[in-house]
Amino acid sequence: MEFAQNQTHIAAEQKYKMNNVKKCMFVCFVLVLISLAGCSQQGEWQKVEIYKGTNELDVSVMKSAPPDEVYEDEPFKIVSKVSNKGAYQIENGILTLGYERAFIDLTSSRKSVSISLEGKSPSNVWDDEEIITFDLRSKYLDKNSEIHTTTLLLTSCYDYETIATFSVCIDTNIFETRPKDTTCTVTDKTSSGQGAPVAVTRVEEDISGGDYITPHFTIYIQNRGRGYVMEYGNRDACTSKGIGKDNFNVVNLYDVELGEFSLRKGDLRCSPELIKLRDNEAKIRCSLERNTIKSTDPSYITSLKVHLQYGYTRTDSIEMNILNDQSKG
Amino acid sequence: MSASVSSGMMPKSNIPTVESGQSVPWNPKTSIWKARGYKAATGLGTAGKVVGKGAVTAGKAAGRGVKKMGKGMAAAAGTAGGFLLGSLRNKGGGSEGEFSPGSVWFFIIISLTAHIFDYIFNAFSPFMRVIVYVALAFFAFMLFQKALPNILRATLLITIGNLLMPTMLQFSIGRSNEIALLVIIFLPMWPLYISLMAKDKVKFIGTLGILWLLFCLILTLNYFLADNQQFLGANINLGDSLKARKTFWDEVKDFVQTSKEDFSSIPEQIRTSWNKSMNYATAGYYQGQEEAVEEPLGVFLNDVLSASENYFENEKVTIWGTLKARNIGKNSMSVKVGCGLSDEWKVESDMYRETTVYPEEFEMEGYDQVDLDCMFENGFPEWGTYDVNLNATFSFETYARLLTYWIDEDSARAITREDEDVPDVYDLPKEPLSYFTSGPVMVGLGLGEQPMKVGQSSIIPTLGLTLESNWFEGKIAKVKSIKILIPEELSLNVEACSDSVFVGGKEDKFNVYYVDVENSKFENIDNYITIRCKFNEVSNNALDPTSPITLRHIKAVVEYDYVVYEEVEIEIEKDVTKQDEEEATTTSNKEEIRECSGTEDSYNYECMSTKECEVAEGVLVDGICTKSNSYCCRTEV
Repeated sequence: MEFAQNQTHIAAEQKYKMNNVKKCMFVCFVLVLISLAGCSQQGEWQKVEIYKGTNELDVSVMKSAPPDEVYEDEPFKIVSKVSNKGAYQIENGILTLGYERAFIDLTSSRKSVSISLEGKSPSNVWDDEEIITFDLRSKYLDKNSEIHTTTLLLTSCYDYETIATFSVCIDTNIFETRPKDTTCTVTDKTSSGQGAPVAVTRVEEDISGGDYITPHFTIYIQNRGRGYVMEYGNRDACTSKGIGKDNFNVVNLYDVELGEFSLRKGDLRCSPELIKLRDNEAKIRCSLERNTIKSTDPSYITSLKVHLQYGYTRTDSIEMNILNDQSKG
Repeated sequence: MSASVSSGMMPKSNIPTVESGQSVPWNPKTSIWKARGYKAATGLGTAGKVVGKGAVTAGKAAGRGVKKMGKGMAAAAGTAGGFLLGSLRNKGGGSEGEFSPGSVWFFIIISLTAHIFDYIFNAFSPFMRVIVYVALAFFAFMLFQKALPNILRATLLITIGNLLMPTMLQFSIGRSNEIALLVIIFLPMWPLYISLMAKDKVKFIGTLGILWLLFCLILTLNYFLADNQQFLGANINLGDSLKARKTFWDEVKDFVQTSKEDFSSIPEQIRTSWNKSMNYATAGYYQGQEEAVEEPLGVFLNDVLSASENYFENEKVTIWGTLKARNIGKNSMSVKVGCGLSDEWKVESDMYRETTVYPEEFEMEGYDQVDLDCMFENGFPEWGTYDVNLNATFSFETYARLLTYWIDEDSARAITREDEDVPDVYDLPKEPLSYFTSGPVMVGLGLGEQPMKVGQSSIIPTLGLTLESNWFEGKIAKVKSIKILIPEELSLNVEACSDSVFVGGKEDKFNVYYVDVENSKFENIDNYITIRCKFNEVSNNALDPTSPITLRHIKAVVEYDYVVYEEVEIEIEKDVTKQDEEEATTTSNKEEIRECSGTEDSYNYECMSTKECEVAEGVLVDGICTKSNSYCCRTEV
């Protein structure tokens, strides 16, 4: 009887322990799930699409440098932060300062600075930044003048590029002599940008031919940034020469690649190669040279890569007030 | 028409159906409900009836809309629209002989408010008073036309009474007008009339009227017993208040006078503005923007008053005012004060413009303030109304600046060819404004076109400078100097200027030029003057090599004397006692006049006064003697 009671007690204790273990396991399971969910969220947060958007070189000034107001004959600084928010490298760009000589003196030795910044990449998703400082001093205002609003100009000039990649369908069965191929269909491709101010916004494809097919691509280009496009390699926009009549709104078509074929190798013909933007837009038409792809070949999907080069310039103005010394009170 | 309205707040059985033409009796228990959706709905319905049949439908629809809105919306709509429109319910909907308490209280409140603002705070101009009392009459007629059969007659009487009362107050026997004003203040016509009429229909109205009268009685006694200084707890002299109160007739006179002046100046104004706009279009007028300052700079005449509103003929006239200087720093300004007759044609002799001014000449700086007195020692000979002025001539300087953009002409062409604007590309204002320092004179600077294109074939720009009085009551007495500062990279072609301009050397990266102001053009400037100058050719070296756009200022400094004045109207009354004396001495004076009159060589002598003549003392030019203290003037025959 006592044994039976003991057995019952032991069984109850074991059951109790088992329940505890189950509870612990359940809690652990929930914790693991939460941590896994956290990991997956963290992974998504880190995913940065660097070849998206219309980012460019951003020039901003630090708070209070320049200050909103300075008194006459008072030193002040412009601390400018230049950040490359796009996906391409900037080499030997220029940042130049314009100011009203009648009201401001430049006390630092330079008013034009060279800038070189890395672009974003899968290994470096952060903006590459540089801090540039200009030292200035306000001059005396005219007698009876209480306030003067002065304008400061920061102009940046740099070379930039855009690489746009689209997957396109090379449909060889253009006359539908064979049963309809389900590999791919020819459609127009669109994009909002490739991590640069000048974007390839749309690619239209059509295919012509007989025994051999010739794919044609109409590529639409647009300046979607806040600045202006210049000829590649030209820095005149940051000098008194300014924007010249032949180098304004000019984009250089560096290369177009269709799978293993490329413009630079002579497999493709594009027109025009020197692109002139009108109202910030332009289009080019590229065709594969004849007798390259047989119409009897099976249809396939390949990549179309458009590589553009251009100079880019932008001017930002900043206003600040110079106050009469008398109003100091 | 019927409007059935329900509210979410009340059980459906409590909601009455209101027929058109019925008034809604006051019921305190349902007052909340009435003040909300019900009033809005009935009000809207009634309004609809007044406007017409189509509007009736709209009103009903609105009523139904309010019904559906539920208590929240109904409350909101009812509070706003229901108050006014619901009060108007009585107009079309009130049955004869009945008052709606809402409309009675509403009307009493607005009419009492108007009365307080008019008679106690003296806040209405006569024209404003007309608008307010006509509006009250309209309200009264619309609200109580059914309840009061004789409302039209009462409305006319009360409105006329309210409008004429201020004029009546000007006629006084002893302190009768003060008493009259007190009576008017304490017996507001509209509130008393309506409360009297509605005392049996609306609760508390009669009691309130009695309380009001008691309150008035206490205040009146207090005013007279406390030597007429205490009124509503404040030191107010009703006599002064009466003097300050302009009558409707005064205002009409002022209005006619002002209109006459305005109309007579219209052709001149049209001509000036036409010239100005034409000049602006053809770059002959250069606009400037006054610098934004906390306090305007210059010398200001304030509180110019006459010692008395009325004087007798030949009685000494005294006017005074305050001169305030506002200047930055310790730059002193020399000031010369004077006074004179604004409408000089009224007096034909110098003797009446003999004035004594105190202080006459002094220096002011910073925030100085000086009190001025001016006496017309001999007064004015003829009775009538005269405009006299107190004026101060002071030296002042105005600084002007214009931000200019310079750009390489090829670059500008490249940008414009692409349908872009240069200012847009460089984030700059399209038309930079010319600024001038605060003061009485506008100095505007301008270039033909901005940005200024610099290059071999660019058109040589023209610099323009305009001077104009910036204040209404004043003018530029004399321009003493005009200094133009051009960035050192530029130079003016002094041969190609509209006025004589000479080179004045260099000054801190500026080339300095002066305009020759020894010319009558630069004195007593009634309108504006513009000076224009061509630049010499500009080479590309003028541009800042490290910037696509060069920012440079052109400046100007103008020194001048400015006269600021303020007018005051005085009334010269006929001196009855002198008139008698004059009559008694007519014979002898006539003899004197005869002695004065006559011809000597080629001049005709006329006596300008009844007093003793001094032959050939003054010269009569355009009806005015040019020398003072002269009673006779000679005119060329």
